[in-house]
Amino acid sequence: MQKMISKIAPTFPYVIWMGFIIVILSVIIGFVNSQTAAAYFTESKAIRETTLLAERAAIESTILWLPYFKFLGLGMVLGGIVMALKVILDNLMQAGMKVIANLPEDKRPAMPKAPWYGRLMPIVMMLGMLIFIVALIVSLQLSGTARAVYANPIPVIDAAGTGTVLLAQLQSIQATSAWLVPFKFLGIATEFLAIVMGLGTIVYVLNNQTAMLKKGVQVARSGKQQAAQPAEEADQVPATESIPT
Amino acid sequence: MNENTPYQLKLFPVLTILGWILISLALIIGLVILTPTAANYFGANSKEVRDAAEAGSVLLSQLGVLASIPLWLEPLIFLGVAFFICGIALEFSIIPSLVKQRGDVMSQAFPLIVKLGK
Amino acid sequence: MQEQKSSFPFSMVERMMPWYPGIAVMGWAFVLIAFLLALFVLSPSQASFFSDAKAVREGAGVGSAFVNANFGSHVLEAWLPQLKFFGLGLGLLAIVMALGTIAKRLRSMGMVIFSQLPEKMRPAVPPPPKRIRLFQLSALMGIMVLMIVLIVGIILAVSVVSGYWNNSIVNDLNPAQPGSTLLSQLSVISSYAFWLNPLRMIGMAFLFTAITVALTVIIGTLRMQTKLLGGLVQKAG
Repeated sequence: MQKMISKIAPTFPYVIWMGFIIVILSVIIGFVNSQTAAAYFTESKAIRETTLLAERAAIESTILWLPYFKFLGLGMVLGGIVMALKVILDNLMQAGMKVIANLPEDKRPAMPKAPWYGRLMPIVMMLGMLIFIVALIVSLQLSGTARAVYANPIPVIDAAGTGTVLLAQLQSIQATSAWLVPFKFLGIATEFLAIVMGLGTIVYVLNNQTAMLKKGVQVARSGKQQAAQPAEEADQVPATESIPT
Repeated sequence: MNENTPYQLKLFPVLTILGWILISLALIIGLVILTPTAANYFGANSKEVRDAAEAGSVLLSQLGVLASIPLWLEPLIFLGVAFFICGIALEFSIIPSLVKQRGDVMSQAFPLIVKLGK
Repeated sequence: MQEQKSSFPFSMVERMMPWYPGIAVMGWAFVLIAFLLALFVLSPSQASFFSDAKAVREGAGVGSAFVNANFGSHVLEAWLPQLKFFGLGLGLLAIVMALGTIAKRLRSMGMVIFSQLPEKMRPAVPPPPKRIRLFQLSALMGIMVLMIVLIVGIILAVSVVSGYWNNSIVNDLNPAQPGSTLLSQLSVISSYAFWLNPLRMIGMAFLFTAITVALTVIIGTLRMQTKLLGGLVQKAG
């Protein structure tokens, strides 16, 4: 699985730009919605609540799904950062191996394995993305419900009593939105956690590579000295042997 | 910054500054326009008066401001955040190649360091 | 090759840098707590308030289930988002601290490499950039702003918000006239979000800036080390 992740990770620039485009799109849709709202609120309360039903339904339903679409975009940018961290880690490991390759094979120190939090990082990132996708799906469902609710004049919605479908729908919009808003923030916090895990792994690798480099230089020098010693001895032997006794 | 500077390093300061501009703008609009309007609309008029406001009245225009500005201001704040995060992502995106370059040079320098030794 | 010790308070900040895993988990836990409170307290309160027609729920008297549910929702909504953002701020702070630690480790790795060379061959390593102080200060500023926002949120929740919403909507809140305590409370309640929300984003902006600057330090260190090592290879070649 780690190998597959390493193969996908270099596509991170596309993921980042895709996320950014989603955010820009959301801003444009939000601006159009604000213009609809501005026009809607220039009318008196009586006209707004009884005649301009389609406008109200459009405003309310957009407010419900747009933030989650926007957060999916932001989540993709953060996910792209986590993927970039994976590429940084892979390059860091490869660089370490390249340096160590200068040592004789039997003297090369073993490369340390990625710590548990390094292996967990892509999974945590994907968990964050899953939160954004689930939140968007739920918000799209809610937005459909809002369209159904606000297709009715406000006085009809206000009069809906216990047991009516309309009140149940309104109740579901309010109760679901209450937990859905912090849920998308949990997605952001999860992406932050994945980034910290990636950065922690970089710290771990750097610590190990510093120690390995120090050791590597010593090993290489002692190897050189050992290699130099027999050569010196070989130079000396014939000389001593040539001394006639 | 010379011509060889990658585009990421040229772009990220622009994105960071844009992020600051948008978020500061939101704070200024919030403090100067929205807060006093909301305080006046809700604090100086009873519900009866607010509900009876006719088209073209000051109260309705205040309500229009309170209902419409946040709808584009919030995505704008979000765009500011997105600019910051994209700037950060661009910086991150340049590090893999720098690590690779450094690794290549280090592997070339390693035998030299061993040879030159203390 | 020894690094010079930083002066106070930066020495303390640098000592705290390696605490980033704890800070990250704490930030995530705050956001999780905010989500759980919304799921198990706010959502049922909303469901309970919207369980009958508008006339019934708004006409209910003080002490009724409707008023209590509405009161609970509004009080929670005044401070819970601030806690959520404080949690996110801690997550960003952890990223800044981890980046600071990486910059330090990279530098010490460079020092270790160059210390293996004879003194006369050691390249001159420039001192740590002044930008380090900038990202440390920016991160501190950001988390302080978010902490202030959280405190303001809690103060508003226990004072104005709880004072206003613990009333019957039809009997007490709707008839309130200009100059009354209720209407002045409403004026605060309906306007504070317009400055408090952008203010917490300013806090986040400081933290984002700290990350941006910390990354420039890392990029600068990597480029500088590549240049110095490249120079060494060229000289020897």
